[in-house]
Amino acid sequence: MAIRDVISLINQMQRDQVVETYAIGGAVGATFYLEPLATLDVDIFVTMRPEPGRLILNPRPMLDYLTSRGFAMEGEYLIVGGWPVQFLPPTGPLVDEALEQAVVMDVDGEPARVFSAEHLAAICLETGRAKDMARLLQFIESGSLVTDLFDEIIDRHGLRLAWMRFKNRFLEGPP
Amino acid sequence: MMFSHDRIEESKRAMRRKLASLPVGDKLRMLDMMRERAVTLRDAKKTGGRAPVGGRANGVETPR
Repeated sequence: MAIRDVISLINQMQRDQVVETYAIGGAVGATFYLEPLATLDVDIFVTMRPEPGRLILNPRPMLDYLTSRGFAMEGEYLIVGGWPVQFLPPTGPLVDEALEQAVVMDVDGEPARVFSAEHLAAICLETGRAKDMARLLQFIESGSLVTDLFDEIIDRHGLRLAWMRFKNRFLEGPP
Repeated sequence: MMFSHDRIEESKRAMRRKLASLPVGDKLRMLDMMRERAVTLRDAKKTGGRAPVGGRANGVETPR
């Protein structure tokens, strides 16, 4: 079982133009900045080139590419190196921007595109589940966020009110 | 022996900082191991604590 195999595969998919660009998100993405976070799957956000004459993106070529190379699908997941991998389209303007501004990091000689820490934190704020709030706290406590960048992102994406609520609840609550 | 909540908290924070500062490759290998352990525990639960026949029986296969 190796996440590095997943990274090698997605890089190959990009070289083969099966995906236009990608970035690792979720707990695996957060692990690039924080302590290792237990997770059972890998979230990879992808963009694909639209087929000529079609406006709607078709994931079929990507699935054909993967299954023809022997990778098994289990429901929504592709199994790579023992890891269930979920390929996700951008879910809104914030993830669009996170994909565009993803950073490249080195994993034992293999480049990996990962959401920036500030975008991962903003996505946690936007998603807003309990585990996202916990992860956002981890980002803050670890000091891995560039405050100005994070502020710009939350303002650009209308998350200021959510941020005030988060701060009030988790950072400035009653003693 | 004295238990100090503050000292325990601080030592946990220090451990997390130490883990966070590891090279990314090492942290991802830790995720690999953590997942392997979670899958083993899940399988053991399914088989009532017995090791699955043939080692891993998590329904996950590595493609050839």
